[in-house]
Amino acid sequence: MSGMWFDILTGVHRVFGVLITIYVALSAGIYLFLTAAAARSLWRERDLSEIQYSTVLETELVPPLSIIVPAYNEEINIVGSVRSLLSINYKQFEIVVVNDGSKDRTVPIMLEEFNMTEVKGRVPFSGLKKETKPIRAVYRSLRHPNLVLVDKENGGKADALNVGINVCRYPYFVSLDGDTVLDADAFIKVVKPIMDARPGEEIVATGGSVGIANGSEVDSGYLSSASVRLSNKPLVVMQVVEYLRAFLMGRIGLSRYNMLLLVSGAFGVFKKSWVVEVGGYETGTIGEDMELTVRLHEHIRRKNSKARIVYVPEPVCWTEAPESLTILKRQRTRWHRGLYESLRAHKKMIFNPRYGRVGMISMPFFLFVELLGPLVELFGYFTVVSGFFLDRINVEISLVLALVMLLFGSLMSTMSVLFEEWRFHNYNRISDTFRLFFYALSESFWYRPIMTWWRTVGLFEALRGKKHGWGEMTRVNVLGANKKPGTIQGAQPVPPEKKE
Amino acid sequence: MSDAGVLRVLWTAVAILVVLIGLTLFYLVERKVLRTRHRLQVAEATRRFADPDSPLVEYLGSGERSRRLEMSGEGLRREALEEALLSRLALSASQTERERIYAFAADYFAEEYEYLLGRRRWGDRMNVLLHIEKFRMTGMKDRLIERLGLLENGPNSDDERFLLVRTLASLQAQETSDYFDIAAERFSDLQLMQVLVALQGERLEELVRRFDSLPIRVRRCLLDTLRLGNVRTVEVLELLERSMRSEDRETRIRALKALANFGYMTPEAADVLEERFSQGEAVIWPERMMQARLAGAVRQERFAPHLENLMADPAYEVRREAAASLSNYRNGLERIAKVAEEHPDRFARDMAVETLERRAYERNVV
Repeated sequence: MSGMWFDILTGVHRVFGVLITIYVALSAGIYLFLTAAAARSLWRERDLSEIQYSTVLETELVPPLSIIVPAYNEEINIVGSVRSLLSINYKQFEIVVVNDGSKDRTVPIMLEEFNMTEVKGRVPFSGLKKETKPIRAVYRSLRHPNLVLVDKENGGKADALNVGINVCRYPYFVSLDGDTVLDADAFIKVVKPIMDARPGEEIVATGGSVGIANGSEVDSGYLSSASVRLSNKPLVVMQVVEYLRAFLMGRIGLSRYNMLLLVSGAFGVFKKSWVVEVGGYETGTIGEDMELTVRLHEHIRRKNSKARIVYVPEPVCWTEAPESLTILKRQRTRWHRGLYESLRAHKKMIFNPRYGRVGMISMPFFLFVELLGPLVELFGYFTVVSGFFLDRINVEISLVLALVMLLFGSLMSTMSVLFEEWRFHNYNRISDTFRLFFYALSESFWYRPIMTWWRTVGLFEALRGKKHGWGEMTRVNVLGANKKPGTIQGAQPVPPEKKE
Repeated sequence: MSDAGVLRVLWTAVAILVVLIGLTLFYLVERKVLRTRHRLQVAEATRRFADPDSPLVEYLGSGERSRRLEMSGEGLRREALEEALLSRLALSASQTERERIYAFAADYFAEEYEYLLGRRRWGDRMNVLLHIEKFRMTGMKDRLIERLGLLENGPNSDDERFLLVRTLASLQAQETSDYFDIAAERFSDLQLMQVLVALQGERLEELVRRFDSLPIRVRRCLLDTLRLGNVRTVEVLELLERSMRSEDRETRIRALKALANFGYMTPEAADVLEERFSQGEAVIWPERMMQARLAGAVRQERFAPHLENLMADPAYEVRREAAASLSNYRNGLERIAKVAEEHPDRFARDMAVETLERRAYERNVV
């Protein structure tokens, strides 16, 4: 009897082993591919001079932008944020602050500070079909004619953005989180692909990299690359490496083949007509930015259009990363729930050849590697341990294999540090480089297992159907946790070693 | 494979990975060290040039090149000199000083730039083009044309093609217009305008003269460029008024916008505008908006009733523009106040109230 059970267990174990090996090989392959694509493009552009922007900035030849700033209970920050936006290094823009039914004094403070009076004729006119919460009033600043405040009933961030889309005037809009710190040239950097689009080529959305501001000095709402410093806290440095990898490797590679599934909510430029066509932001989801990007891709495919969603590697905005484990955990589980929701809402695209590369490659990649990766990783550990008890494991081989995979993960991370140096060299001190490098090496040994665990927790929370609204997003995660640096996180799911 | 075989493969993999990681670190540190050295050099160059006693400051003041000047860059790398000169350019306002910096840069960098232009690395070539443009190195013109001839025809070289053409334009090269056909086909509107905006004086006059022979996209962009550059000649006025009657809607809109900026139109053109106004909503709203703007800029009594009509336009932007234009007229504010009280259309009344509030505020502040 026990012999039969043992045989069955061994058989199951063998199947698991094979499946996991295939999984690891495939995902390692994808990472290598993305790294190669990113390396090609960054190598070509390495050390490109910053004066490429100054030449354009001196002229008025930039497309006008509508900047939508959703605000909920932001009485403390809003004036400062708007002030720094008003002084941006850009020629033509309007700012649309959307007050999402704040319970504090956000509106009265804005009215007073910027001499705003009510505008009656400004009805929503972009024709977004989606129902939004009613607008109470629209105000325009007398002092700054390009500053508009919309006061509306509470309906969540996505709803606020939709109202902003309805009210704004220009063909391109920027979605911005209230507490994002911008690079001084953020707008020109992100708009460049739109300016350079060939006749007939359409750019639906562009986004840039998000950096980590902890440890740097922010000067009146801006952070220029000269004042970027690396934080002293290990947890933050680790996140810096993580962001670099997510942005510089994952996104450049994906964007090159028009497979980018996420334009960050912290800072993205969208073409209004397209967003209106797909019905604006989806309310009631956590990852409304990713959800919108996926829907735009869907629409591009359905229309058989050549339109593109482009990613600009330049760091355009900076965010404060969580410095404590508790907040970091909350952020990561939330991101994972958002990822789950976006994928579930568009499950019909997965492995659907009608959606081209997005359907056949990026969606499955996000499903298997990003969403289920942590779970598979835990399974891997389980397989190894059970194999040990079933006496099917050669301990030495397992350990060396584990070492290979850990080193592979570390190599990916160190490469991203190198990419940063090629293209931006924001971290100028040699000691910073060393610290980035060695933290990148150490990642697989402590940071990664923690992330794996949290992301698994997030996955289960999502399956249980945990939901969240505005409140948590802005007030609890005060450290800027509502930024999404990228869903491509791990360099490589750590391998489940096994022996045959 | 035997366990021993597997182990051997794995250990080899470990060795390879360790070596790769080591190499990456080495390369990283090397680059960092070089960069630090470079930053020091830039600081050194900037310091040397800022010193009131420096040969460069002397040269910028007098225009006379001393032997000391020729030697002042010695021991510094090109990039450091470039950066220091660029920051000097950004600061110094006077035309003579700029000219002197250009002349100095042309002497110092020409040889190296010629070499860099032919480099395989894309980033190098792009950087050198940006610098040629900044330092107005007219002497490089032939090399740029040569490079344009060597470019592959594919879209991969479009970034470089654009920068080459823009640089040519900024050097006021007559040959720039040879590339308009390919530019109209490949460049975006904003890129075309960057090229056109750089052309000035004689080159620009020539473009205005042969306007009709230009590709349509270049024509449209040229109208915008004339507006942005505030070019005010009889020829330009004549061109704008002609384009206002163009078959192409985009051309008409841009011509109206440019005319509004010009602030004057001949009586014949005013007749055309009035005729257009009477077509009402058969004209699309961006064009109606520009018509309203033009009517506000030229302030002719006969347009006032049309502007009052436009204050009830279905498009918010048109209503706003019409109100702003009308308020420029004599007794404009009274007329708007009348609209606020008597106009049958609610949107027109709302817009009138909004405009009055804004004007009242502006009176108080200014």
